[in-house]
Amino acid sequence: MTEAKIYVDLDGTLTRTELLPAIARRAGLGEEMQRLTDETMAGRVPFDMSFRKRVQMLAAIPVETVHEEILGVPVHEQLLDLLLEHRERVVVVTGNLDVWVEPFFAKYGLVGLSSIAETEDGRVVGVRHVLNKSTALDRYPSAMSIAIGDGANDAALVRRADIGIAWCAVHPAARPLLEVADYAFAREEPLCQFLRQWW
Amino acid sequence: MPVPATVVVNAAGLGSRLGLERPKALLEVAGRPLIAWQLDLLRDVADVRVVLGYQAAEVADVVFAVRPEAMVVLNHDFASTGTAASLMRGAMGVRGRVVSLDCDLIVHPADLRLFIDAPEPVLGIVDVQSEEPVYVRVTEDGDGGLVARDFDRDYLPGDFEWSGLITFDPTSPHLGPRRGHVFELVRSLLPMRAAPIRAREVDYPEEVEPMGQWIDELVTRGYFS
Repeated sequence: MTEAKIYVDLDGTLTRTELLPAIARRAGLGEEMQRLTDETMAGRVPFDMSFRKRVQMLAAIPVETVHEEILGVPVHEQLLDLLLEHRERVVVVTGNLDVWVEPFFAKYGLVGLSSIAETEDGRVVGVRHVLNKSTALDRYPSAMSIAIGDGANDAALVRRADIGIAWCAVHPAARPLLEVADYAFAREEPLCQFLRQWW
Repeated sequence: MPVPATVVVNAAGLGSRLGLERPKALLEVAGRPLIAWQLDLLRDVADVRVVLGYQAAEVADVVFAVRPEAMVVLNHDFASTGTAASLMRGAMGVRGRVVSLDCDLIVHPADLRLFIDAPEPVLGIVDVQSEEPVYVRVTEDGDGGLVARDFDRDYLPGDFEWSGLITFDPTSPHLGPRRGHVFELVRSLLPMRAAPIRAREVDYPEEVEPMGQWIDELVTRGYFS
């Protein structure tokens, strides 16, 4: 059997909620952030622009506070357990910031690609580089690639992978993603059963 | 107990003969989209896969609202490939039998059950009722049953109409071309047992009302949840 790698999105795919709105709620900025995040996931606002703006909104929040939030956020346990069976064949591909999500990667021993923050004195002051998710396939090549994502910004990765999966459990199916995906699931059990063919 | 089959619902097409601006799967009949009625009848089937193409995201929203555990299979080439390609995409990885069911065919639940539990391949036939159907040539098997011998575009007395419903083995080496219609895909699996089914299909605007009456009748008899 060809050894497959799984390239999986973080916010709303591995985790049950989007992280930025969760962080924003702590800072009392929840409503505006949720609206902007929803618009972005649906593909109505470009990810790059929206992400920079959302990072600005959260810049005042200490990195440690963000870490607490990220390590406490509920995850899709069944999916995560399956991935951890072969963690060396998993790449987490997130548009989220390196300084924010690194503790998540470390906690589960997973390799991850993320956007890169600009920091000053331990605080995030901006975004140096927004990750183009489809480059994950070049940086971690595989004989067979399976990509799983839930937002419009996952479309390029999902399109290029041998098997592209739209994850519809948290949001309704993102239109641009459904245009390029091979499969769509809204529950962990059938998704995991499907992934077992290669896992 | 027979192992229940995987059901592949083909809902990729345009439904162009209905002249709507949305896929046939979303056609409102008796107060619900057609695909919602179809999935309701399949609520006891463990492995249901819905193949989508035209306006896939809109249909997927309805599919997941009614049946969150469903697997949605996308066929973006639905306009250039036939129904066989959609079916085989949906059947990928299945090791047992597959029931192929078109989204626009509402089958009496008791008849559908026989196809889901069928230990052998079986093909669903109806009395001739459509305008340009594919005909099924049958013979009697001597036991009161029918055997499908061939498909034909030309009618001969005694022919039935091909319903689109079939239980078969998707790994069979005898399957035909995958770019055409389902009947072309499964033709070389014949001869095969043929079973008359009670069912209604909706292809043309004038068939929408009879479909509504058929669904109402099944609702009255308590077949829907």
